[in-house]
Amino acid sequence: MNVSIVSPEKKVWEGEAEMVVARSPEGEFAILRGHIPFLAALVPGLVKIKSGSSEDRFLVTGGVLEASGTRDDYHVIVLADDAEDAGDLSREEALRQMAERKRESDAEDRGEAELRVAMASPELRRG
Amino acid sequence: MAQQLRVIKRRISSVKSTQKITRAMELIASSRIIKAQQRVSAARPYAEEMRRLMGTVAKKAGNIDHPLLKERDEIRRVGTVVITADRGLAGAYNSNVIRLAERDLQAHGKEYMLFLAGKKAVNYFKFRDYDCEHSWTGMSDRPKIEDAREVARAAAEAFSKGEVDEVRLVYTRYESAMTQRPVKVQLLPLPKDEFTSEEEPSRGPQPSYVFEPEPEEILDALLPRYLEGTVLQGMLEASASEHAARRRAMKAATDNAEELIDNLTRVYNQARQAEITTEIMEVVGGAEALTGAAIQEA
Repeated sequence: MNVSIVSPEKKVWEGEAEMVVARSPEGEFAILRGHIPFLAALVPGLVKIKSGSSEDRFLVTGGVLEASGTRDDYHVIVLADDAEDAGDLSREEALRQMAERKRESDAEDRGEAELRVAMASPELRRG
Repeated sequence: MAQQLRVIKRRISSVKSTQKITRAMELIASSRIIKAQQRVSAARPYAEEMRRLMGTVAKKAGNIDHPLLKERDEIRRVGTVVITADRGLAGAYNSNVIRLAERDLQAHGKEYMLFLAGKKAVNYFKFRDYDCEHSWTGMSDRPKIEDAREVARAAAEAFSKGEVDEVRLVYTRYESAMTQRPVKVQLLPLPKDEFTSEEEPSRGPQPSYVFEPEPEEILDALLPRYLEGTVLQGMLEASASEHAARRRAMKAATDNAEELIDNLTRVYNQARQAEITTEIMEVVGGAEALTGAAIQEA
């Protein structure tokens, strides 16, 4: 079945897989090909995409998952608020790291803004 | 004479250095358009899937009824989200959007509430003593979903609380590299027909969905995200438009400088020629006077 993970800014992943595991407010669930059409809200956690022995893991901070189609043409779409490759991290670890990166990039943004102001002010004084 | 030459020369070199700057800005803008365009198209799948999903939910959940979808009987106060750039030097880009927004405010004559994204809009409306409670800057260069979320949430909150009865989004739509047009779209209440009417039945009868949790709750999760996606799309298009407008403005400035330099060079050469001619005349005149004097002596 065709699986795609889409965030508001871009398509994060797309490919074929055998099973998708994700987490809704009611708990973790798995989707196999031909699953009855299914629409779930997602809570922060991992979306695991399994294909044979390989597994791709993504951290999503929330969103919705839709599974539908016929047996031959089945698709699962994850509309994630934010998604990134989680590697081998556990759910807790991945969430923690994401929060940390967020803080860092915010601080970076602020730092850059300050730098720009500092660079611009002599120009401004000169008039 | 020589002083006039110096003045012209100085002007030429000043125009040249301006031209260097405008050309650099033009090149930077061109490279940014491509990236901004890519971001616009990268964000499209999400918006499309979201719209389709909302259609699905709306159909399966029967009569959808949600605060964000409900049209108000009486419109007392209108919210307007205006997306502009943080920087100028982009031709009429900023003033076009602002003009559309302001005209809209004046046309409906109702009370207003402004949501301003972009320094240019903030400065404009602040200067004219508009009430600018909600404003953001630093987003226009590379709008992120977090930025769109902040704006969308502020608008949704004001709408849910009943502070405004309608919200519009004014931004510059990126139609192509050549044309960008300021447009006004309705943001809230979410225009229902956008996802309820359309298409289907596509692949035969579709079996009913299983929802987890209930359809109403899913709708609760979907609608704000749909709104955020719409705002993000607007911001991304506005950003692409900004770069396109800046590139055009800077190209015009560069060409203009080129022409100015040509003209000034022509004036400079003429003046120089005139000076040389005068000098030769002086020399010849002097020599002639001397030979004239020599002949008389002989």
